[in-house]
Amino acid sequence: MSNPVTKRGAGHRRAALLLVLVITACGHSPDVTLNPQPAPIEYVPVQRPFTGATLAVDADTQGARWQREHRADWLQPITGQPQARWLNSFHDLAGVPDYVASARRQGAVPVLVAYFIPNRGCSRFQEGAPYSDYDRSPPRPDSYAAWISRLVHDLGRIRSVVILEPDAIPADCFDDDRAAAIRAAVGALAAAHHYVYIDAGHPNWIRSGPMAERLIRSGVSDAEGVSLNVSNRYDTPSVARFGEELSDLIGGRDYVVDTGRNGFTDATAEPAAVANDWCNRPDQALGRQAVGSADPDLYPHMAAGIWIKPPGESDGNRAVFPQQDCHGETAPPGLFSPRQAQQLIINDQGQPASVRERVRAIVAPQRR
Amino acid sequence: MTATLDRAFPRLEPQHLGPLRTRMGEPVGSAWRIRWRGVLWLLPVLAVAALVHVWGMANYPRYVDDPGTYLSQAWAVQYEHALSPYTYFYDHAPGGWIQVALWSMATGGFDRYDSAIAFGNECMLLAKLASVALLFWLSRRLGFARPAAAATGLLFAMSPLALTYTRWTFLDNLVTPWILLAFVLAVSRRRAMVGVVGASLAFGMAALTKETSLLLAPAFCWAVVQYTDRRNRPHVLLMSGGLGVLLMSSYVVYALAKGELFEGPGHTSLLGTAKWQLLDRQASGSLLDPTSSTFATVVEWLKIDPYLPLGGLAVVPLLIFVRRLGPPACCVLLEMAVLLKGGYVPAMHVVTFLPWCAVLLVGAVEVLRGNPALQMRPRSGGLHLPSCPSVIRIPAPRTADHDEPTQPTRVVTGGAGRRGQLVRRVVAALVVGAVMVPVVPAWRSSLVTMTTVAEPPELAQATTWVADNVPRSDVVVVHDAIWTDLVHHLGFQKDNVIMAYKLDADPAVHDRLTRLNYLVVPDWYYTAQVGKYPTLIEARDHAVAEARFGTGPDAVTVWRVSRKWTP
Repeated sequence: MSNPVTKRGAGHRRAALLLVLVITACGHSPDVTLNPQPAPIEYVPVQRPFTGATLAVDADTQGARWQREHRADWLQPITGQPQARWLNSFHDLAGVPDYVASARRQGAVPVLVAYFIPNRGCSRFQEGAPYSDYDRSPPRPDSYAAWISRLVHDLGRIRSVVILEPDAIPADCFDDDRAAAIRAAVGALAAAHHYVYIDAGHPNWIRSGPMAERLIRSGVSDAEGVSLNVSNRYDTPSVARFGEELSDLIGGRDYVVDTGRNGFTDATAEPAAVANDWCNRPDQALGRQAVGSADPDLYPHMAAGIWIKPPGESDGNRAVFPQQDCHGETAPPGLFSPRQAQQLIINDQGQPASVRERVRAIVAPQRR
Repeated sequence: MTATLDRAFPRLEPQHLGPLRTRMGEPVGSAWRIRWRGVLWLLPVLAVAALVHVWGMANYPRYVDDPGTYLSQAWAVQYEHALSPYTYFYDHAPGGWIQVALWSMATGGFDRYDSAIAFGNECMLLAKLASVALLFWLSRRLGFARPAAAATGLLFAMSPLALTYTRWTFLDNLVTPWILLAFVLAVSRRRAMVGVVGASLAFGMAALTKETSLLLAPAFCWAVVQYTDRRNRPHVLLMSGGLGVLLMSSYVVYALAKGELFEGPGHTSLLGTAKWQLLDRQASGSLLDPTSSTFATVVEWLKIDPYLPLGGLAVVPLLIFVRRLGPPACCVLLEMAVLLKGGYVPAMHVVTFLPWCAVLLVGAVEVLRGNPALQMRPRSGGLHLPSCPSVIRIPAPRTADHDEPTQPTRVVTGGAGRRGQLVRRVVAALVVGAVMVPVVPAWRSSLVTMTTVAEPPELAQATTWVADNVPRSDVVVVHDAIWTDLVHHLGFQKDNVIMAYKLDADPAVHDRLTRLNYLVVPDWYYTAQVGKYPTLIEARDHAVAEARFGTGPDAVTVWRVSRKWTP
């Protein structure tokens, strides 16, 4: 008789083979066409405009004008140094051509600060605005692009460093509209061959990861880098360490550090202590300016330490900030205060002792 | 002289006695004879089970937390000759992943697939086929008819809930075949010592695979006691119990030999972890409390398939009075007790539940149908069913050459037998039909969804990205599901690939941490409860998102951490 066991055995073998085929076919991972979001970012090469450059001295700062009006030569340690030119309105754009022309005559690179983002400061406080602009309502969003276009036009063919919108990215009110506005501004300025540094706050504000994400949304891939410590007083090594950490996340961008008023703080100071006492603290001191890195081995991406916020301008007074201790200063935010300038020079250990003694003897008037 | 002795002591011919079980009147054949009719019913069930399990198993369900850990431990057993790539802290008995490792050693498992999870899927398929076959066998031994036994296997194979949880590489899926084998060997009419000892050893293996299977010890003991003869029960229980305990104690002896049995400074300990598991672990809350996580877990189970678990529960009161289904019902009740008690209940607990639910459901139908092997107890206080025909078996007379005992003579008594039988069969068929009306469409649509997911899991995509973009000297924090892939296939150093939850939980890892370069974990890790993954969340604050795969809660983002930051 035909062996039923063999027949069933053959059927079983076939079934087993089919099963094995099915298993191997279904267990093997299929080809994956990767569609990762976001698409990989292309960073433009870093151009290093500060390498071997000189910085432009601005003869038309508030301090320089006050010095001329009151024949206050003691202000020379401040007014004789290069400082950035702040642009807070359409009105300020009028002085741009003369400024960049003056810089070119000096053979220096002009440094400008664009400070006109809609809803600047996220509140009524508008840093750096001259007194007369203080109560002006924030500009409309569509006028920002127009303002940037005017700026590009007024800069002309002189390649300039533009610090873009201090405090705009780290602010609480940062959103997609602001990111889009900044991205458009970066694009317009970069297309005109200017060197854009987007402001990225300071080490004690937004941490490097979230800051990198915001910067990428705001077009940092087209920018030269970021600016740090603007109007703040964190010591240069702390800021540089933060800058290096951030730079690694944004395609190796460079960073400039505002050293206008960070001369006094040492690296061991508690960040909170620096953060809390930000309004005209009496022990503030001028910091050192230099193109290039403070330590090229440790901080390879530091482009320069420069004075961005003009030293001597007040941070505020009791009328504007009732909750904050502004150490008796009466000048409103953004107004040049000789008393602040005096403190900065006196506390600057880098100044000759004779200069500090002479400035200490001055009776600096209070401005209101 | 001899003749005188013959008269005084009649010679006892061996064939007059026969085996004990035959003398006790049980008609049985050779233990090793293959019953082809049963196999004929089993094979299609296995084919369906395999097909349903395999189709789409690479893409559904999405990766969860534990399978990768077990597979990494199996990899460590094979390639590092250690119980874990990290410090083994006795969280589970190692039998489960040792079995996976043995299978890999025999077949080159980790080399055959690009991803360890795929190899785990293969192991789960084999476990599923074994479980289905053993369910069939158990059902047959409990007295189910062959179609009913096939239905038990099919219920377990086709339930969407069972499919979801048996596709994941959980230890519970490896326990199920052992537990079923233990019950199969216990529930034997042969009353052979070997069978009971085998059952006990199988139960010991189940306990070594996952120690939580000890929960079913009462039901198992009941099954063993039911099927042992009173006359040699103490002997049988002592022998089998002793051997089972001996097998389970190998785990304790191992810990003792390593000096890690008792708690002490500087090392993990078996008793310490056991204490933590039982006492200190955060309780999930009782099922009776609607705000507990146990309640939420059960709701999730019932969303996938309410019919099998609830059906099994619903028939328990009916079947308590059926003697042979007592142990399966007891299993279900023990599992429920865990849910009600309010200790720590992980989501995979449902796997231990479902085979018994299948047995009970089909058992209920068999009882309705009038299966004579599953009679209600005569003294039941509740239901009265139409009288069934009672069958008396008369053992066949022994013949000299007995290898195939003749069928026993059947004597049927009882008057209303045939008509009652027909009525009961119709009722059973109607009940089955009524149950299938809601169940079949629900299961069909769930199964279609589960077998046709096209998008590969997000972590698998992320692994491919890592293979293309990450330098092999970098330190990568990963979800445990892809740990083995990075180490075995992509050439990363074992110490440079860190499972996310080990960053803070394992002091050895935490202390030697000098840098982190990439984070490849699902997004829901970052929104886990506060304090669970502090280092991971801190690292993300210094990282930028390089690639994101998928959307929703299972999305995976690859974060590149700043090289200038130290953890």
